[in-house]
Amino acid sequence: MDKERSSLLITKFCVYMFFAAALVLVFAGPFVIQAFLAVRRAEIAVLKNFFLVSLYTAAPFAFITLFHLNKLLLNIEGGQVFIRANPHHLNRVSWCCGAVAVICCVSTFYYTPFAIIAVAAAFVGMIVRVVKNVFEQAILLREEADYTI
Amino acid sequence: MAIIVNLDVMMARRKISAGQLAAEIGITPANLSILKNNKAKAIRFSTLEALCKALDCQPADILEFQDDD
Repeated sequence: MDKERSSLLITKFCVYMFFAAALVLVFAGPFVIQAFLAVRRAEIAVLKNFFLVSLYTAAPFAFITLFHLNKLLLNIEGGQVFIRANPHHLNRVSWCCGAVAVICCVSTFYYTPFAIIAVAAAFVGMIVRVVKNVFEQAILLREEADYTI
Repeated sequence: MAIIVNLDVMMARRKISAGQLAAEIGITPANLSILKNNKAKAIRFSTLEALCKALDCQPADILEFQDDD
């Protein structure tokens, strides 16, 4: 049990670290983008506002994802693994990944490397959906077992 | 539900309460309630055997098939 508990703690720590990083990025976004553009070619420096729009459009989805991941981890920590709420959280995470993929897709019109992030986000969203389906089946099996007298 | 569990009828005939029956067959009153209210999805043979022994009856006295169609 110690191994599972420490694994859960590591995952929770990662979620909180990502939350902190997302907060920092929200407030320091303009400076981060400025620094990023400073090392790139001069002609894309004019795209700063586009980068900011992409960042602040995707930010809420990042926070929603982290919120649902945290709720999922809290449920698992409380021993409530195969409950109806957990696939709901995973569903929200997958839709957020999809939304970020769409935002990155649109952003490729002004900066092509966003396509890589779009594909990665869509792929992660798809993986989360598969995990959600697995959870739903596991819940059905658990209910079947619970109602076997 | 196609399979109906008629435990109430047999319990009334044998004059045994739900608590007594649950204790006798080794299941919780909550699980017995699930069985009685036709909310169970499956029943183990061991549970069916214990029920038949406790109620001195046959499985057909407890279980009834009703065609949903």
